[in-house]
Amino acid sequence: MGFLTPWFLGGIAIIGLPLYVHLLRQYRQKPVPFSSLMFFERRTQSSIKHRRLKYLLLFALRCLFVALLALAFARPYIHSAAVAHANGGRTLVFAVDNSFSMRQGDRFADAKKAAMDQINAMQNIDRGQVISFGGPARLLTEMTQDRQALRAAITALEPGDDANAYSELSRALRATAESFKTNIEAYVFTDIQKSALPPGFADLKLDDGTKLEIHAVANAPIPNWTVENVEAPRRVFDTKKVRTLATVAGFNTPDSVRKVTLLANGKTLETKELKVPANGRATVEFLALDAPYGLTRCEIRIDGGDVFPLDDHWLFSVERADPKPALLIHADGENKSPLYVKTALESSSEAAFKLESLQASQSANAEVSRYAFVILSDPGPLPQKITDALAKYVQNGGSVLMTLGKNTSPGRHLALADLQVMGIHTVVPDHEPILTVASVDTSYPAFSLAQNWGGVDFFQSVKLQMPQASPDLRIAAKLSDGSPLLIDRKIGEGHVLVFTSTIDNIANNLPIQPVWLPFLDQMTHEMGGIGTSPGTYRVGSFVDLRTAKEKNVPVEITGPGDKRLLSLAESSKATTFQFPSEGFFDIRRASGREELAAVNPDRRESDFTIIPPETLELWKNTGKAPTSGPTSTSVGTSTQDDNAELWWYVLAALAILAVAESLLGNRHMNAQAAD
Amino acid sequence: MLQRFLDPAVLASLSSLDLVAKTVVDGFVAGLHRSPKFGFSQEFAEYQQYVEGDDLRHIDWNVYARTERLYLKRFKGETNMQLLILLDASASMTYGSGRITKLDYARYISASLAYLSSQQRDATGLIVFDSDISNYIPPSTRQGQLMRILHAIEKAEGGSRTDFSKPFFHFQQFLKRRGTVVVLSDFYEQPEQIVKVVEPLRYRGNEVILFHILDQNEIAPKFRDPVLLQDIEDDSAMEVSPDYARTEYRAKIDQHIKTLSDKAASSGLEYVFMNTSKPLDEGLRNYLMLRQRRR
Repeated sequence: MGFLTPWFLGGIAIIGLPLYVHLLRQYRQKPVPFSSLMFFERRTQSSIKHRRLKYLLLFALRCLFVALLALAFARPYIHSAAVAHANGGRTLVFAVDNSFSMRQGDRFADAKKAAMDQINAMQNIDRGQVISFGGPARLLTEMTQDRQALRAAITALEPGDDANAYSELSRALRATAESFKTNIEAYVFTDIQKSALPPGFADLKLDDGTKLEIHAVANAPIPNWTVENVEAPRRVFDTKKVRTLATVAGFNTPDSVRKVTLLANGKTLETKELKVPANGRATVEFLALDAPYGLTRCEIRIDGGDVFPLDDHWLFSVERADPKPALLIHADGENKSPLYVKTALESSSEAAFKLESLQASQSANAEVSRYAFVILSDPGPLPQKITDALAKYVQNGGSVLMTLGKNTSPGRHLALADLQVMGIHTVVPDHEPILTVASVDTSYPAFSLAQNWGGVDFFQSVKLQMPQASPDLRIAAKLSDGSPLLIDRKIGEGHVLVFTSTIDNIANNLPIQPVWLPFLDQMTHEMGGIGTSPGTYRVGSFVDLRTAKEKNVPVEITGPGDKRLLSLAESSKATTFQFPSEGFFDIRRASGREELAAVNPDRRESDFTIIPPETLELWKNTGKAPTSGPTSTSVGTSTQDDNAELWWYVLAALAILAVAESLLGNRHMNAQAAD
Repeated sequence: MLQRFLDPAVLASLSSLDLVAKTVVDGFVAGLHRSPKFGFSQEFAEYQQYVEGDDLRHIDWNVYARTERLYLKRFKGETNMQLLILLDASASMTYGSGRITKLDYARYISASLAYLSSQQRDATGLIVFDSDISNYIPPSTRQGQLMRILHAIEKAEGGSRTDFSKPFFHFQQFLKRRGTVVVLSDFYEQPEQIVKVVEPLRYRGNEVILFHILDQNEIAPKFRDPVLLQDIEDDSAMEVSPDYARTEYRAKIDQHIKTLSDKAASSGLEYVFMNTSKPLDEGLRNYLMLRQRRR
């Protein structure tokens, strides 16, 4: 039983009214003047009787009247499942697997046919519900006795590209059993993929009393090769330096040699042969990707030669662009830091930036706004003009990396970062230990790959007076003496990064250590706004569409077949989007930037290994302790369409109560008047 | 105002009774009975020789002219009865379950008695008291006495609590002549105490009549529910159950009435019980009948 408008039950509080009239008001009676109390005695029984609830029957009637009135407004109903159970009917769930693997052969058609047969076998008093679980479990119908509706839901069901998870199915069955507070019989139509089992068997647990019957549409594992993964840069700046790694996996397969082809916009670029071990995986590397400027739809394809060709390719996208200019300003006569930075950027796999360097004295007229980022390599005092330009650049969203060394005089105020220099600490090797990196914040993008700082020694560092902690200030790394090594400060729309040592291989040996390249590569990517967001997604995964500042700015997504996937309202309000199927998705973001998302099915679906019968039996047994039936009925998710509403009966009871109350109240009033 | 007390119906009811028969010794109505004592009537009785100290106004100068002796002229006068009404105006007298309160009822009786008395040319006085004497009009037959008394009765309002001892002590000081004393009260006091206070009046030869005035709800209270009663005089409150009011209270009030009646009788006091729900003349008639029986 449930209520369609349960908040009206709050009206039951009005029971306080008859309670007041009948009980509380008795205690607040006014004193009756009397000539003399000379012949009266104070008696305990008087008080006891005083508290006795008078007119008990009338009081009960009035309370009941108020309660029923609130109940009528709350619109009680009994769910049809409970009605069906009361009539001896069963509560059935027809769960159909429509995951990516069900596209193999006639699996999905077989599953639908079996489900249809089961629905046809329903008795008239039975209630049923259809759910699909190719990905998250979805309720396709209400719990209903309408077999036509159930059959229609099965007919309309299509296979998807998402991955199956039996834990999702079990959760849905548990929720159904709990919602209806009754024993359910679940008929599951699936290909019993072993890869869909959860890591923990406990996640498969069913409610006591749930009967599970599995109709398997596969009875043996089948061999299958698939492109399991592709690693490729999202952006290409130099087509001759692009490295694409493709992993080909075989499930239940013998040793074989597969042809692996790299395609860009449907055009074959390169084909290689790859020896794939039995029931194993192998990787092939492509060292060139001749993609045109702009967004390119790329694909790795294999000659599968198996019974499931749908997973024999992997989609990915790349964006080709020219390297962005970056500026490094260094002290006059100091040439080492430009050399180390330039070399590191050129050796990066992407070579996304082209470095220009200027001496501090020549930097006054530099047009900083055209650079992706700016590095101030301990330049000492800068001309006021470039200082102002840099401040404006940061306010508008630019990023500046400041390295501090011997040219940073103690007491100087770093206006750009709004930090005060306290002094320069130079390590005396014979008297104190050499400074090392004590801790790095691995969640900071610059350290996501550069985590091994062993062997990096610091001989000199600049000490800063740190301001109060604030959300705009982040210390990403610290030295062994506890002083900050890398500080990220958000100023305006941009960031100023302060490195408390130099990058000239004098104050430290960082530029000649292995960590230097990933550190600089990641940091410049972040500073340059390239980021590391993926270009490849899985079916069912989500993509962020807008930031909090981009409200009511339209976002467009065009899916396979040039279909617009967002309605007008969604395009201006949706914050995320779930990829529903395989293919390329064009995303035009609020900033106007276009992205190309390549979406592939989960490759666990390519493993057609089936679940052992004993595991299936264990799963069924988790719900085999039958309960005594429904204790009560309540529904959390259903609508009222299929429910038996009770408000009419409540109103009838109200009318009878009103008559009874009137008669009884009248009698009491007459008696009172007679007294 | 006058009309309020001089209800013709009441007077008609009283006039039908033989008032003469009710004043055998002292006479209740002037002019109907001869008094054994000398008064100021016109019927000659005797001459008495003047002795020093006698009132010179009573000397018969005609006899002196003829005999040159001083004689006082004595007449057989009709008895002048003195009626003093003591009206209890304590707070408890303001109680009434019906249209009129006990004090109203007592006012009617007092006014009726005063009117009757004035008709008989008796000296009539009034004392209004509660815990003390709040108003006193000495007995007199002067012109306008009735109006003064009626006015004083009209002004009598519920005061504080009843205390018989103090006003009765003062009252004994005012009482110079023998007469009839009528006390109208609800007598919420122990009967022994009431009689003890009133009894000395009787010793002086006064006829004392106690009018015990109670409301019907005081005699037989009817409470449907438990009720919180508040004493009008001292504001104390008490929860009272209907059962108690029906049984024990009624027994106690009945016992109180009986005891007061008995004690009054044993002390030579007249006792008349009056229920405010009964007609006014009925109570007076009972009183007069009682006087008649006594004769």
